[in-house]
Amino acid sequence: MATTTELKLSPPLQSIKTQKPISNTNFFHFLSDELIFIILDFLDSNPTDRKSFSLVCKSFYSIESKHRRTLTPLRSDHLPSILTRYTSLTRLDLTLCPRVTDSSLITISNACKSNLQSIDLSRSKYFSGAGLQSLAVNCKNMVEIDLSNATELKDSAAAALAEAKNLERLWLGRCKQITDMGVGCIAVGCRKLKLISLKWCLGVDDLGVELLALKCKDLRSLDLSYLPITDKCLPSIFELPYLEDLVLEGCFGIDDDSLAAFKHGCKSLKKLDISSCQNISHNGLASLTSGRVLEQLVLSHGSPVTLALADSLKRLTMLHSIKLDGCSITYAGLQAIGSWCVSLRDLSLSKCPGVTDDGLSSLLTKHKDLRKLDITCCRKITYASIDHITVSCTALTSLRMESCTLVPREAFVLIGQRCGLLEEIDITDNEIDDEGLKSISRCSELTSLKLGICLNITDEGVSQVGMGCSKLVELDLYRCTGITDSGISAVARGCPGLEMINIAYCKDITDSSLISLSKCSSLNTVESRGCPLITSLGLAAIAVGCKQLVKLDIKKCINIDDAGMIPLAHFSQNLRQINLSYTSVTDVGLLSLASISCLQSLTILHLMGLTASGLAAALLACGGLTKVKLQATFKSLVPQALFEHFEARGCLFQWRDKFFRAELDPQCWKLQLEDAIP
Amino acid sequence: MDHKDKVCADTWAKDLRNKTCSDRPKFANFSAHQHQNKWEDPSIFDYGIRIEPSFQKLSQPSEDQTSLPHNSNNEKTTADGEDVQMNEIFHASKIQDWDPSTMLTNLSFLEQKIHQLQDLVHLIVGRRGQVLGRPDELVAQQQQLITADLTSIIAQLISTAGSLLPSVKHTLSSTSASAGQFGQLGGSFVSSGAGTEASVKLQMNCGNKLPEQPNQTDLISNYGTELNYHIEEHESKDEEDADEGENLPPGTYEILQLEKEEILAPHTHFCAICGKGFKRDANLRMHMRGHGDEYKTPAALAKPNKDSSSEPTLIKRYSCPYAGCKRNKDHKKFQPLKTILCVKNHYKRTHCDKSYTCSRCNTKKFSVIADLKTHEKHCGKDKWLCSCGTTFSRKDKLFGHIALFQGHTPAIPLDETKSAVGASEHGEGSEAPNRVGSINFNFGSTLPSAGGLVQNIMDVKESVDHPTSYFSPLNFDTCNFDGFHEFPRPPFEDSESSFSFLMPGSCNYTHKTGGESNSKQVE
Repeated sequence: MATTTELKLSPPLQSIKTQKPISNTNFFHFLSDELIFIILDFLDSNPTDRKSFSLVCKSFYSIESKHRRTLTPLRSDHLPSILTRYTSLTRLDLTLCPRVTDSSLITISNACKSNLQSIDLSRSKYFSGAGLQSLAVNCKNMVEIDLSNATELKDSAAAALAEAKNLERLWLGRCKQITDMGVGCIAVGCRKLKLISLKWCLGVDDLGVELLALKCKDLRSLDLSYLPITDKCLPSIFELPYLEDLVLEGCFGIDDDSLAAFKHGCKSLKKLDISSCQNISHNGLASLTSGRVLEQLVLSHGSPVTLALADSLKRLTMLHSIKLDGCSITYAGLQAIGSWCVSLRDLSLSKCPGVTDDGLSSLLTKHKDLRKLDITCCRKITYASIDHITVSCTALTSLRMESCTLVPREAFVLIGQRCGLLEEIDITDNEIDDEGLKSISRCSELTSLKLGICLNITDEGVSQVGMGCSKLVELDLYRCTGITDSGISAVARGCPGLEMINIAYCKDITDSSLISLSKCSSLNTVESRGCPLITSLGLAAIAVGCKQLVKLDIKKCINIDDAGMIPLAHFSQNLRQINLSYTSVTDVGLLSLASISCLQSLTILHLMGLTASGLAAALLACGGLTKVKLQATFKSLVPQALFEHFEARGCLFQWRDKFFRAELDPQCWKLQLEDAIP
Repeated sequence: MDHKDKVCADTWAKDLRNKTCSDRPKFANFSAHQHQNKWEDPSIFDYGIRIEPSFQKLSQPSEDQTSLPHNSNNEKTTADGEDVQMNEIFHASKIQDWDPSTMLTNLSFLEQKIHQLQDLVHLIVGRRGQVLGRPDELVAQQQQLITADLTSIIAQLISTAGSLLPSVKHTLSSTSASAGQFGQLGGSFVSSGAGTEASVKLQMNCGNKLPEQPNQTDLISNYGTELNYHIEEHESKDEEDADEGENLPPGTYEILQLEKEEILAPHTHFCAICGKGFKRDANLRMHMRGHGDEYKTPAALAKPNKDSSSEPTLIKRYSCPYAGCKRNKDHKKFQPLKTILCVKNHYKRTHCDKSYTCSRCNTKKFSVIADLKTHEKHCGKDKWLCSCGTTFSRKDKLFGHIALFQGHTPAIPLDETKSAVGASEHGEGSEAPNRVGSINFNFGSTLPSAGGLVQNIMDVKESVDHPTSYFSPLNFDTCNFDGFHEFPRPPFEDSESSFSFLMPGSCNYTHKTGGESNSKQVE
């Protein structure tokens, strides 16, 4: 809704900002705070814009402080001062804080009081029931809490959480120590719950879930993935009057008899996920037909898709999306899906071994309105299928066909010719060549293009893409060894909105590619593993040009050294994840990187110039680290107490003891890959 | 297994014989007289009831000791006899299905054993007389041998008696199964193959604790009746619960009404000869055997009501004597009680004071002692707690309760670590009886490979150092009997109650710890 207006409004605002110091007349005094608030509302696209705005003057600073609603702090240490500045916060995202303790939560609850409505604690496990209790008691209007991965939380914490009477959305994924008792407390306490996720809460079973369904009648969305539940609790779940989204992925205790309860209720269910439930056959699915409004069905990794199964679903009149990933599938089954009276919008058949040209054609003749099609690893389909797909489904926006190895290069020409509306194509590991790519470049709406391991493409094709697909956001050229600097520079010129690029193992890429990519200011992810010609110069260009850089992988770029790290440390203040393995970076470079306050994940394997003391100093300086991948040899070289200190700060160490492996020639690598696939 | 056992038995027998040789004259010259005496004196069979007189009588023959070899009675040396009989016993205990012919063989075996036992009693009594005169080490050795003999006979008696009961098949399917239960307790012999061995060991423990024979025989009968008791108790409980739904049309059954005094009487079965009262018919029948051979026939020992099964009789139902009670026949919606036991339990539960208080929680009261025992089993273990303060022993019951009542919520112990400690405290609490149980077995498990027989000797050897304590008159203290009589719970109901089976035993144990030998064994 707001995107179009935002685009129109942002240029004048920027001009105002630049004019402000020059004019020196306080005409901003005539603007009320509310008006500036409205302007600020449109500044959400780029977080640094808000920052620059607040740094203009004291009044702007206070206006920005009052205006801000959501905050994603990097460290919990500074919470007290931050919270006194931002008084009207409604949402707090603490996923970037390496360590959130009870005292942090108590600080938050005392500062924000009932303003706070939403808090995300999904990456921390260092808090307990005491902190949650303080939140629940002080922040009366709390609506949303994400506690995923809080593996240490116990039932007492859940009981404390039950004090949050207005809670509507709660995520408890992987809270493995919470049992039925805790869920029971939440069920009784939080009666307004609309969404709850209990994924991987292995301590919860039928009793807890049943009570939840009995007490929280407003539930809209329920995720019970991998719970040890059986058919005992399902009847009460199906009686929930407003339930729309039910995920039962990997609930092995559920079978056909359990689904029989579906017949008596659940008129509101729109999305059902029963993937990996091996015990459900077509008999159980037949009872789903009473779900009149069922729109999406996920049956991935379940029982074989046969005629009987497809027939049992044909009366679902509202169905528009079905996922059958990983199911063995028969021709009759595909044909029967083709004879359904509904017109599917979204179909996923990835890794289904039984998909053939005939089957796919008979299915697609009916479902002409398909928008998304996933035929990843359907290794039997050939030119005929692609022909059929492109003729029938001209409105296709997403096509994923990784590793369809029998599809010849001519087929890809058809895609570009007939499916002009494509926004997303995944042709990883295919025979596509420059002609095909040229044709695909006609899809002007394309935002994501994945061409990994396409060994037949060259600069010519990629240049065409760069000219045709100006909206491209994501480009994956992993191991496309035919690509050189000219192709990349064409893309960099033609696709200014590029956010993610993967040029890993394109061994002919040099610094000039990176220099041209540095013009794409939105770039946040650069993967350039195994590009030996890249040096610190190119990296410096990226650092200067791409301020949004969050993720950088320069593993095996052996010519990158400390000289590249210093500009990176200086300019890429948003960098969170870096892989420096096998580069020539030494203590100096690592130490300078430590000044990036955002840095969370660091992989430093086989750094020849790294010493134990340098490592220790860098780790000490880098307070925000949450994950470090290290050579196991350092374990004995750095004092144990130091590692304990890092771990207490919330950092996790992963020790690796791999031998140095020489790089293979790409053809040889692909042959090896094919050997590995059965 | 069998072979191994046999080897054990052989070694034991050899061992015993060697020892016997050393003091053969004394060991051998008593039993003939005993033998004669025994058959003449009927009061010997009365030992279960009147210990003191029989004890006196038993001590009389010890005064004169003729020189007849002791095996004239048994036709073999005791040791050899043991050997054979041990094999027999293994054979008997292996028979899983109950059939009357086996029962008969077992009965006659029992009879033979009891005779042997009596011989030994006489022997001991004789020893006692001698001890007074000659306090030398030889006496101690002899006593050791006698005790060893005694213990093994008693062990065989008990295990054979256990296999006699037809009901055993229904509840436990075989003696070895029951023995297996004990085996689990001991922890050292879990395999079912070791069943017989284990049972022998167990009985031996009893033997060591209570070396005086009359007591032992009483124990045997008790052993049997406890089993019986257990079964009846179980049935009746089920029935009383189940008969809620029973809809017998009036007139199709005969209504009996017992009087209040009758219901509350401690004994319902009385011996026609001596007048002793018993709670159960089976106890009485066991007792009756002591009054003569005519009561020892299978017919006399069989359950009486089984004979009448040929002619169809009107179903019997019972009425509660309490006026106005739903179980009273004058009530509008009268619901009859199925058995006398139902009547008793109903009357006590509904119309009597609750005089038994749980010693753990001091709040729950019961009028039927079995109810108290049932409660005590899980008292304090109700860990599922609701915010309203109600506790539940099962989680699903708690959740049902919470689902039913608005505002109630599962209560989680304030400090969960504390609750974990609490759980372990529970564990410690229940460990106390556990420990007692395992102590009883510990000296059995010190020689796990040697089997029960070798073990037997070991125990006896230990106790030899203190013969006085072993045979001290203290052992005849009535508390020993009371311990076993009062002991209300079936021995084989479950592992927990098997603790308590040992519990009274161990109480006795400590009670008579005047002799250090016992305490030494415990250590």
